[in-house]
Amino acid sequence: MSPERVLQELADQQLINDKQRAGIQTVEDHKLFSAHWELRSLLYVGILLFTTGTGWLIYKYIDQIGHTFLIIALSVLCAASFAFAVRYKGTFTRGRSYSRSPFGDYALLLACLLFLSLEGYLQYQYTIFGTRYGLVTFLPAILFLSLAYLFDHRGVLAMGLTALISWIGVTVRPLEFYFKGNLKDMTVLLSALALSIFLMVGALMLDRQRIKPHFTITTLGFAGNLLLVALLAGLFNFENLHLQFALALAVACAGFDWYARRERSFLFLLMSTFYGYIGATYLVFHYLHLRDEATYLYWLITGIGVTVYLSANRKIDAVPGVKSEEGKN
Amino acid sequence: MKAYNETWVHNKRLMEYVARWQRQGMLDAAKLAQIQAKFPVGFRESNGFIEIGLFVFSIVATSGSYFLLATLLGQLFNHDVFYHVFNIGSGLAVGFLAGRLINSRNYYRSGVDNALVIAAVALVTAGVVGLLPNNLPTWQYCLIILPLVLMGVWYYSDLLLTMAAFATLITALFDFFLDFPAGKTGLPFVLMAISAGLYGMARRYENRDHLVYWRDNFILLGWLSLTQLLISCNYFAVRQLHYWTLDKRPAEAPEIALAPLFWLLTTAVPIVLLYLGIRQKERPLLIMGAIGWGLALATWRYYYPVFSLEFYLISNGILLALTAIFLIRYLSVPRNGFTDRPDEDSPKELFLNAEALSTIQATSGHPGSKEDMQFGGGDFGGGGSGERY
Repeated sequence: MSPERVLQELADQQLINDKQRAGIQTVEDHKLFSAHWELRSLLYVGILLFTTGTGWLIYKYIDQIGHTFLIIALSVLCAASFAFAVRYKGTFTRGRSYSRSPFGDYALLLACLLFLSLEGYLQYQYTIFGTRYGLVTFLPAILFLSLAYLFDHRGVLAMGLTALISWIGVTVRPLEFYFKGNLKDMTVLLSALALSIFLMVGALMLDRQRIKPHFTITTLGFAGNLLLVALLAGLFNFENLHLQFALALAVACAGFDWYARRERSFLFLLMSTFYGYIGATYLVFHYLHLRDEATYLYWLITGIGVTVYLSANRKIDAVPGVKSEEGKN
Repeated sequence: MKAYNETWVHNKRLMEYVARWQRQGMLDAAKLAQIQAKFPVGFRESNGFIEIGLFVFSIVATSGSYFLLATLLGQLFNHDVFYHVFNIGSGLAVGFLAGRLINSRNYYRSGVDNALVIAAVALVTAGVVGLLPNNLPTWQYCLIILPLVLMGVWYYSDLLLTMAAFATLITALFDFFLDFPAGKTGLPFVLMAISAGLYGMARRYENRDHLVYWRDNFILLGWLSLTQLLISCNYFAVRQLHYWTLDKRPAEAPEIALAPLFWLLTTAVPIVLLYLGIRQKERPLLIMGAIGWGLALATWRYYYPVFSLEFYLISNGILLALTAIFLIRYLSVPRNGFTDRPDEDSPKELFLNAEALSTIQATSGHPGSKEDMQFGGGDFGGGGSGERY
């Protein structure tokens, strides 16, 4: 369907007059091709390739001549990118603020990625943190989180949250039912639960104060995945605590369901549905030992049930102009 | 007669333009509401995350009912024919259910309908293939499946079915041409020709007004055929394919016939795509051209590694970043019809002739509504409708 055709139909229905039609047509004829997102993706891929390459390079030629020079060069580049980001930093506001240069955000990203490589190298070569390995991830976590709020950078926020979560020994990726790390260990599991609750409370409090409210979804997404993964892991790994973990999972899912409805952030509804379904299904099959027909019947009934439940929730969304994360400002 | 209300699909596409013009400040909110009233879209509003959930759990429910029925009727399946007829029957039943739900609940690509449509077509094709003799070559099965899937695409305009149809066609070509020696050499060229042809077809029809029901399918076909084109002309892909078809495989993939030609194509095709993309301002051509160029470099580095991998990563990373930085700066003012500004921006700055815009804005405001009242459209012209939106 071409713009001409749309304008024709609108004119046929006398919804626009000739002047408007000609005007919009002129704009469409002179419409420029926007390469905005393509160019930014290109820049992003370039930075990722570069930092991956340097990360590799650092360890490959360790103990060789010129290595010190390489480290110095990378440190200078890291500092320079950071200086660039600072130089063009927008004034801090509680809402969204933007760098005054189109490259400010990317310079900050480059600086943070290089910082990670350099920090890892310093620990590897000189063990600057000694055996306190926790500091190796805790330091960048705190640094990145502060930078994210100062510079208003959601990418750095995600890096900081990832570092913070790996600090307690777990790797979680949003929407991946995949967890590395030792969630069979009760200490790790409890610290995962504590961290996720701490992050969620923090995110909601900052949201209430309207401090960078567009960060809320990112933080809640990370923390929520961590919480639900940890609860599922508890369910799978600690049979003697089934009741407690099942209850906690149910409460968490109900909480996300409530939040998703209230904020119209349906990512959280999807998360609670998936994790909740997995937990419930695990318990049903663990205790009931369903046979073939019963299994199929279970799929049939629960499939229809969840579909009806999700459809029912969707009606809330029928109002146009959904409250997006941007719209909160 | 199609699965979804064609007028609504048409209006949905039309409203996409109107909504953009409104966001760009060329129509005011009252006018938007007025147009919306004349071109209603009755489909259920939906949300991407919910759609994912609905899709997954509809598949769960469908599989549950299918396996339950199949187990209960298991005694009958001593005769294979019954089983295949059962598949076709359940496929039709699922399709019927999809139709009922689409009509009663106004679904349009809402997850549930996607899942049911896929299941229906998959079951029917499985049944039909089951009824066929067992010893046919794969390409013949594919050619029998293809029209069934295409009928599904025609009726439902489903995107996953479009992918399935494309995959079926490519599988048929592979299986047919790999059967004889001349076909093995010719396969890459056949695939290139078919991809180019399909891309041409997609471009030709994606904007046709009477084909608006399948607009997204044509757009998807464009992307799929460009991807296939890049793969079929790539030296690495052709050499590996040749290697897999050998009866006795040496340790390493041997050199292929016409190697210089494939090297030329590996590098030239992305350049041509980029060139055409810049000339015609076509996003898929530009993006696939850039990806193809990356693939060409990776292929070259795979066979002729002059430097170490990290050297390539670092140098290409720097090169890419510098190119992007240069282009972002260069396009900060519009050049040759390209700009760095996001699409949704108001054309104010893009517009060399600022007078034209002020004219549209002036005429699209309240005077416009008054004129419409004269034409008898008073129902929609009031400020109330504007507020309602």
